[in-house]
Amino acid sequence: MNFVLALTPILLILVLMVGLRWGAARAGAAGYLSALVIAVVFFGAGPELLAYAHAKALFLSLDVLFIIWAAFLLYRVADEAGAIRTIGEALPHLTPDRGMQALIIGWVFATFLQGVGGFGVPVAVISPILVGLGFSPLAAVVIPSVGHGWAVTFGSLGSSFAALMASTGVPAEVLAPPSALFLGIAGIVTGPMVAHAAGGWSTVRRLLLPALILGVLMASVQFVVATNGFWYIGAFVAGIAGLALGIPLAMRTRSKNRSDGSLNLRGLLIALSGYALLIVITLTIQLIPAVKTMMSAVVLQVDFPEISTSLGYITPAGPGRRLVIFRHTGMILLYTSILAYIIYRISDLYKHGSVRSILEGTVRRVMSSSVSIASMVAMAVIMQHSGMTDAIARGLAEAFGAFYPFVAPWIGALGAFMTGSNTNSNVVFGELQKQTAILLGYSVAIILAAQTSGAALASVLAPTKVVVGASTAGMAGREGDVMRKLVVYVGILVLLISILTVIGVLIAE
Amino acid sequence: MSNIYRYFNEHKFESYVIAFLLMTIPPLLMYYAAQDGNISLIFVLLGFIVLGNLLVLMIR
Repeated sequence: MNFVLALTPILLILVLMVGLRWGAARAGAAGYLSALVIAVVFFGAGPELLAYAHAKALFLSLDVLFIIWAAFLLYRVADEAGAIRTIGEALPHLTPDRGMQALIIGWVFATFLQGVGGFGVPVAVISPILVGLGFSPLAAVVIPSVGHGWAVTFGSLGSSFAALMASTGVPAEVLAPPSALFLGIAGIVTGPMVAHAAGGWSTVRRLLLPALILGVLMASVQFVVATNGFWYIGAFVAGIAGLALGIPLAMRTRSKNRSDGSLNLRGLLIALSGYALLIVITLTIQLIPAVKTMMSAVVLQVDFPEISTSLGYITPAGPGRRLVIFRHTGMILLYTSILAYIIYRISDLYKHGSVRSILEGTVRRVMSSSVSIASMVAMAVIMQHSGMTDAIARGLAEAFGAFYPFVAPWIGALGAFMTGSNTNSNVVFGELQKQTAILLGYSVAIILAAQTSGAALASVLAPTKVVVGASTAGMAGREGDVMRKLVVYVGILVLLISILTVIGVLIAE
Repeated sequence: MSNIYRYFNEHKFESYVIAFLLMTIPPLLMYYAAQDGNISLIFVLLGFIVLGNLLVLMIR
């Protein structure tokens, strides 16, 4: 009974968004209100618990919203300057092949951005570019969503993987090999999936060889980097390797017919400068110790006491979300936006009144997304602190017993779906997965690899992330359409991880 | 009631802004209320958050 009650808010959101085509804001509000009532009436959540849970949720929400606002600001800065259109007009000169464009931009470049960025950045940045290239808004969101999932655990400069190590106490030497192996195999399968999302089975057949070549290269690079102590730049280096091979591969499919005009190289370089700045600023801040230290001076963090329900479910005391203000991904995007604006202004690409247009366009577009994120994160944190999340996970584990290895990635996936991130899922379920593996006699490393792999791949389906992508592609209010498309690809990838986990525990025995 | 409903739907952006503020300002105050053991204030602030979510439900 507890299991069904705990699952109700999630099922409600799914039914409302996918079945009744409600927007994320309304569905999120309904999910929040149902979680609040169930937590109070059935799980013993008292006023103090609700107060601390809402405060924690606020910090988590701000962490996410800062990125969304800044990512969309960067898009508006580039779009108002005509940069998106310029990139779109130039790319056919690299390759006119729509499928190859999807592979290079929606998968390889998305992998790189996930490597250096954070929550939602690949989809937020790439979706508008693909729309500018002529992809449908739906395809423009689905392609980079599918394309970047495999890079999440070893992306964001390793934050999700670090969270798994911190929450379980298992070291990198033990966790990295199976995690990188599972995600690498998923990465190889991702390429053909991106091709399918771009143009169906005919595109898969036509581009299967380059997709497999790129997939094997990126997967191998991430594995080697992650298993040799550099797990924090695994996805980043894999993305660089993919671009180094992918761009020449793409140019081999370029039409020899130049009737579409010559390439405006200067215009293209100026247009790309905004995104090049993102790479330069990110690397400068994250990898140069002196700069990193200086940017880490201002930290926003609040401590929380031990919180318990009247039924005895305890959340230990500890610090809340740590916001390193000047080094935050959102701040990096803000720096990029400001400097990109200056470059585009010097290049005389703006009309009169562009600043007002940029700022007003940004605020108007992100407001409904901000509301949905605020309510969904609050829902997730209330569920976590009242024991509802734990009830769901235990119910799944008890129900499946000997089939637990098959289920483990789905628990990670559920955590990512509910909390919106691989990192949060690892924090919430990491220790639970580890203890269950020990109880059932399974390899802890394999089960935790399943946890983070399932969470990474399914994080792209989290309502909060779907909202990010949909809003930047002009699909606000149609998040259900995006989820319906994504659930098939994500389901296949998580099923793949399930199979790999079963094989892994059998070999480990 | 229908006039209020129509107003919020004709002014969606403003409605979302109000809802967002109702959802994000109270939580920090709730933290300090919990620190002080002020249960009444917690319920009042929670009421604002619930109000914000109910407002969102009215916006199509």
